[in-house]
Amino acid sequence: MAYCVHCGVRLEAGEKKCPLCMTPVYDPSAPPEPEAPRAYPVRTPEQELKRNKRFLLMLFTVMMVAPAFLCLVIDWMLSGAVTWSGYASSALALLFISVAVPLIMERYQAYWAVGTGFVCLNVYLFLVEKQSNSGRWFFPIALPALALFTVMLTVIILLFRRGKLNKLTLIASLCAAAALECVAIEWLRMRALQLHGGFAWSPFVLAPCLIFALSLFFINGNRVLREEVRRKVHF
Amino acid sequence: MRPKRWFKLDNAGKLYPAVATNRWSSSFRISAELFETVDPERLQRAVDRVLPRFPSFKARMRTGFFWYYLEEIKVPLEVRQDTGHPCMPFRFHQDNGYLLRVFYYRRRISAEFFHSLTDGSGGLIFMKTLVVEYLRMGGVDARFDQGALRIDEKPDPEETADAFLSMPLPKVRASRKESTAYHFFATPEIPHTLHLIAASIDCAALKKESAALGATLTEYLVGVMLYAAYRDQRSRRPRRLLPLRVSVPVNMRAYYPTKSLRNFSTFINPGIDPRLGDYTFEEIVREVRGYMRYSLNPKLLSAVIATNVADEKNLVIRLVPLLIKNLVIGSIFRKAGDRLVTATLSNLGKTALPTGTEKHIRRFEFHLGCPSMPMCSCACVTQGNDLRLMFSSSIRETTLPRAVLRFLVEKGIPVAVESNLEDD
Repeated sequence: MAYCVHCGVRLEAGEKKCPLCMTPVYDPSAPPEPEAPRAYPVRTPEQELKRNKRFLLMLFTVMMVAPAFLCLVIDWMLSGAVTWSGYASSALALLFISVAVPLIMERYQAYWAVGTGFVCLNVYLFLVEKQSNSGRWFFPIALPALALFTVMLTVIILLFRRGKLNKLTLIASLCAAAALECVAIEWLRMRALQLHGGFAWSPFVLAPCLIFALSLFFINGNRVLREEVRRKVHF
Repeated sequence: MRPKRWFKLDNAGKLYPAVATNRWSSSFRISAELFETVDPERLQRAVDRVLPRFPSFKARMRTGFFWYYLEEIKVPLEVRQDTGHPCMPFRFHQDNGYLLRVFYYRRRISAEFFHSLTDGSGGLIFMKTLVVEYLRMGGVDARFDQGALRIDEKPDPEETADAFLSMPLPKVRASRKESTAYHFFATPEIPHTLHLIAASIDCAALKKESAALGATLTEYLVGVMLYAAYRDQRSRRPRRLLPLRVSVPVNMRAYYPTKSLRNFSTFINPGIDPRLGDYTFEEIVREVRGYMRYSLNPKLLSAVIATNVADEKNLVIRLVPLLIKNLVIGSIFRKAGDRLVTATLSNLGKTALPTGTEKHIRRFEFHLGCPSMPMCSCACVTQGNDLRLMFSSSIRETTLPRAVLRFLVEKGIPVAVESNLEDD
């Protein structure tokens, strides 16, 4: 039975130092056993590997701010005005917002990522349309295409979080969503430019993607095959 | 197939899912330390038999359009070996959705609860029932009494009811306004860390000391905590002195008896204001005693609860979508919440052991999860002459437990401590 020489509290067996003042136990008649069981399980080292959000955010800020600033300076030095660097730095700014916001948020991170990504991308494409004088393509093509993709992505995330999709069916769903998005983009383009003559390139994306997605759904439905695939591709 | 049962969250429980994050959620743990090593298989069987008796605990958190609600879980709860990370945040999609965890470690059985499920009293009833069933499976003639529920009985509808809604409430509402309180200097630990310091205190000696000042055990302990904070603030010589408060949860079952196993507690914040002048320890205890005896009456407490219930019943608030409610509740909680108090002391009181378990249960333990701010929480439960005081925090400093326990030792009260702190 040992007492802390500073605090005067009795230290239960298993304590190698006083938990109040961290003074090591000193009991010449009964030195602490190194393997004595503790009253409570102690913290494990893997916890130290938990990501530190604040550090990540600072690192990401530096990674985004430095090249944006550099682009602006170089552009200004070469041409005496902000020309091409405007695109680069605004793209970096929007990327920063769309990554930093979900990182800061404690809850619904996936939805925040999709939401801010949608808003930022729309803002960026709208600015590009305004700056480049390349005709009206944002409202007839870019906005509905992005909206469709955002809706599909949100539904997939919702299903995944509710446990309706596993990792395999998640990949399959993403693949199918990407294929449908390609068809939608081509259809929107045809409608906007009033082109006639049917789909040109999107079926070439749709077919392999759909085959791949259906294969994954089939594998998912077959327990033996699923286990085999999991064994082969685990990392 | 029978549709899944569901339960509305009780008035107090509505707050916790709204403010829960990946890093923090409000939780507490109740443990029973036995005289024998726990058999995990027997414990699993006991949990499988006991949990259906507590239908509101066998439930997952679901998101409705306007409020969260609890939905029955049909898969069994798995008992697990205890880890070094007690009271980890509850994530609603993990552990099959359970908001309750059962652990075993050497001779200890522990249950962790997300605070929306129940409060300390409900948790203790569950733990007593579980331990009695566990011992009975081992051939011990233990009885389901002293709080332990008979598992062969059907759950009483009152047990899952929201007792806040059935108690008489005055039309007058108590104000919630309070200023920010002083906090000890604290270095936050990395997320998901909970340091525990458990102290066994000679209850008779403590009672003698508190009786000398005319105070109860809770009043005395609150006084000690305030005195520790008072001395700490003085030693730091701040530009502006801040008031000191300790949050003390109050079990409303003492005033309005109910069988409800859901949350049925509120809290009071006894404290002192050092801006008014210097205080001695005796003065602080006298202040606390006066405040607590004035506040702990059913009329004033029900006025505090009336404020919360009125918010819940407000038609405009009810019609606001949950997402917006979460944002508003979250921002209010961050501005108020733990900022208003220096520390928390939750006293579960004196527990009686179910008949036949005296030779098998060494003691019960009770501690709170990590506070939402870098600070220290304290909880205690008494059994016989052993008052088990447990400090939980996710900060490096041990200023509060050190000051409190050293003070008790200086008063001649025997204290024994143990912890989950690393050796290195």
